[in-house]
Amino acid sequence: MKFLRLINNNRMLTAGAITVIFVCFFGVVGSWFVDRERADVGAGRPAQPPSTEFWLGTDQQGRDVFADLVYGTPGTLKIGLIAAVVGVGVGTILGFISGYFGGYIDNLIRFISDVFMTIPVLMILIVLASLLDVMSNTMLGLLIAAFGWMGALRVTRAQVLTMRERAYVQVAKLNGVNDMEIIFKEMIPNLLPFIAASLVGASAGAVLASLGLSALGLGPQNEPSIGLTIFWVLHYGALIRELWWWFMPPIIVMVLLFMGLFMITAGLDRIANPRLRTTV
Amino acid sequence: MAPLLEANKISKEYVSGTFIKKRNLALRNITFSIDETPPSITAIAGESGSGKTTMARLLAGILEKSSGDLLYKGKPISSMNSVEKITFKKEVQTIFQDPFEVYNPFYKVDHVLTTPLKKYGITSNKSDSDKMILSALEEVGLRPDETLGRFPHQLSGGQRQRIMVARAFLLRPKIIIADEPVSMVDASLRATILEELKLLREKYGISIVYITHDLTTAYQVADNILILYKGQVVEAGEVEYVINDPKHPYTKLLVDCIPQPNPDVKWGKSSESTNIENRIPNECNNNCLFCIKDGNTDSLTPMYQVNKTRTVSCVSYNKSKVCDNEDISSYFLKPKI
Amino acid sequence: MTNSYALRVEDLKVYYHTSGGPVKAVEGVSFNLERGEKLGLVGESGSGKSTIALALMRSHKPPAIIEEGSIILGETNLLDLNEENMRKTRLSGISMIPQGAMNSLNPVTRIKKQVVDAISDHNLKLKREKKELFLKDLMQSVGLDSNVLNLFPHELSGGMKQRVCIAISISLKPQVIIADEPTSALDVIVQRQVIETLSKVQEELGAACVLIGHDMGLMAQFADKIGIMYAGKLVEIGPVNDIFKNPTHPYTRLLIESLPDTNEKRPLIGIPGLPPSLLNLAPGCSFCLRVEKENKNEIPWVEISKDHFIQKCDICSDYGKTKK
Repeated sequence: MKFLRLINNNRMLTAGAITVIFVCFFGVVGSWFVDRERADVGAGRPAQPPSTEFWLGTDQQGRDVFADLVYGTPGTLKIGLIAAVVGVGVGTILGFISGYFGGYIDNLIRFISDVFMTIPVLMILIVLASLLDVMSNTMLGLLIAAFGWMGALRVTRAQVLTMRERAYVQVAKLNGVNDMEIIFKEMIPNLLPFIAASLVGASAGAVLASLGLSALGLGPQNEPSIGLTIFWVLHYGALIRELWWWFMPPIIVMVLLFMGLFMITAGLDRIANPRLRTTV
Repeated sequence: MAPLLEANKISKEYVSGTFIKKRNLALRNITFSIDETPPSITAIAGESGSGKTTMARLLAGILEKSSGDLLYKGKPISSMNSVEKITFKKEVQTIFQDPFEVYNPFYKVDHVLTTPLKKYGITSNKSDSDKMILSALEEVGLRPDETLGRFPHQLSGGQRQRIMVARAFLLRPKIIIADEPVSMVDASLRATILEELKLLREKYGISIVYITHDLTTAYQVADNILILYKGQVVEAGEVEYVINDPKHPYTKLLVDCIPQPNPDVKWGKSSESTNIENRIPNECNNNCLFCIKDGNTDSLTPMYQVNKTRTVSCVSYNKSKVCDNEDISSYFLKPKI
Repeated sequence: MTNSYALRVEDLKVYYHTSGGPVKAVEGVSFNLERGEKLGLVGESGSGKSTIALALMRSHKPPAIIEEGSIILGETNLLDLNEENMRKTRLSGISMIPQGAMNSLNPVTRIKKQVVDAISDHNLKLKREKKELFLKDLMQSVGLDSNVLNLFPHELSGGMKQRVCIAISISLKPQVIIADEPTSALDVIVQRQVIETLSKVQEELGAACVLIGHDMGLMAQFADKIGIMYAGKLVEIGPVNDIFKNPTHPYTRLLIESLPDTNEKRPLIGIPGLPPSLLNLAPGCSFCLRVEKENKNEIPWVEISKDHFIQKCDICSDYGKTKK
């Protein structure tokens, strides 16, 4: 009963969570039923509209669009997840160290972060893409993380600076708790909701970044991902050719994903900010 | 008996600003001490900006002084090794003003009670910890079944503050520094918490430093009182006399403004008494902190000894002897315990 | 029929609707205020006094709903007014100095603009010189120099900011002023200044005043009449001398006895137990529950002497009475 009330009070959050979980499952469960080879070039005759054999038809290179979608979704999600976890993780840890200890370490970390923020990401990625023979989804995730950790650093640092002055931290110090324990036991638990929200936001940002980069051809070309699909869609001018069964499905899946992530963020916001609530 | 905690000529200056430095002298040359026996309750009273919170933080060891010495058991804090420092932290406990901020909202209230026991190595196993926590809670009049296992927001301000008193008592300290412990608590619970502090002194010989802006509770609780004004002690001594027969014009002003809970005893006529600009006694044209127009001077009026347990820092009393002992608490009433 | 009362509150009920049920913050409160009369409303946190203040101004927000009752300002029932007319009545008919009023001044605007902003919504058209004079008089009435108008809030002390808030609240000469803990963050000397200022302006205006707080000392100095709130209900109301000399309801009695003074040192006695949760409040006498008794019947509101009313519960009325 209490669980149902929990869901009812947080409808936005639940709806968002369900949507995102659905998208994830679609990829994972789908791969149990659909053969991997059907997502490769030449699985069928090119540019065929949907039929009973190919539910969403085939693309210009003969890939089964449905299979491509089923294998591409987890590919994109993997990029987003790696980028978000590594980016937020590194940013948060550095943010704690920077905010709590202050002094030289703080200045050093902030300097590095500021330098990174001024680097034009696109140019670096173009250079890297041309240097690397092979890029995998994982690598793309890490690359996006490398240029995304600064946001988490700034905000975590700001939160830590506030928390450091809170009375309960002073009480902990008087209790004989050492610095590391204060960070892990007193501060991090209070930041968990914030970190969760950061992860969600970072995932959305990372997925978007990966779509953009892949569409430009800078992403991995050997593994399926939604971004890669979009690349080929643009490359072969599917829009002009009205091959709707090819470009609509990935767009729909991505829209669903972003909507879900957004609803989770809005739902978390409602929990974290009591003033947005109209019921208690 | 050698004093337990000594503040020796302590001054604290706050400096702010990067290029143009703004200096704020929060405490000026304060010297007083607390003996181990007999256990005493000393009130430090003043308004905001008087330096009383700074004093509390300094005594607790949270803040660093700008000059002077803080000694515990005869040894300066700054030159203590880690073992001595731990003893100091254990034996001088603090109760803070805000009963909500002191709790980490993530943990149940048990957390503030179990952590110090673990960290100071008082108990080695859970059952001993539990016993100590239960007895501490009972000591402050709380029912363990109503308080343990709850989150801070599930308890009232008064309950939370009493848990903090229990926490301070848990480590069997010698001194408890209570920084405005009841100002954010409901009036009906203030009496209970303050009585508990008095009881801790009677039963366990713990000395209390009670920092407050409320002279009425200071009167009821303390043996002696120091009145702070802009970082300087303007009057000190036996609390009954300081409050009922104030000598310094600032103390007189403070006492006049106490709202007595008796409709027959109203505040005196307003006009001059509360008009801060007109509070300078007519006879006084001295360069003292209270009387000077712009309120900022480095010269300190000396403390005069009015009688055995009273000292005042006001030139109107320059017929009395200047105190030769810098430690104001040597002119305090020794409590009979 | 001429109504000599400035404010009449009848059987006011304000509930907060939560997912766990209604929290009955104000449960049937009634009182009258004559013109120029000062009422002190006292109670512990959670007794409902701040909710009453918001409800009187109809500034409460959902989930707080006024369930029942009437608030009659002069001849008008405020609960009958539509939103636009209520907006016009706020500040001109009934005004409020909220808790922490010092923090409700806009930090980036000069005082003058803030005062003018508050007034301008009420169509008080004044020519330039008259406006300057009006503002200067307003500042002087609260004991502030007119140069304060050109300052920013952070350049003023706490007491001065509070007096600016008092000035704003009296600028349109309302009939009732509500002050919700106006001195909670202030030192004792400044507190006296602010309360004396409030007293003075209220007398000059002839306005009725409701001072909400928990400091009985302040109430003794300021109020003509005192009302004690407990668990959302008014348990006792009467002239200030009666309340202090002859407190009748057991809660009031305990409250008065627990007040420390500077006449003699004696053990401090508090009130035992805890205030009840207003969620799912049991019917009947709420104070009984605090002293481990029970009375589920409806408690009558009885006048025990002139203008002195109490919730008369036979079960707990003798609690704490020392045998003379």
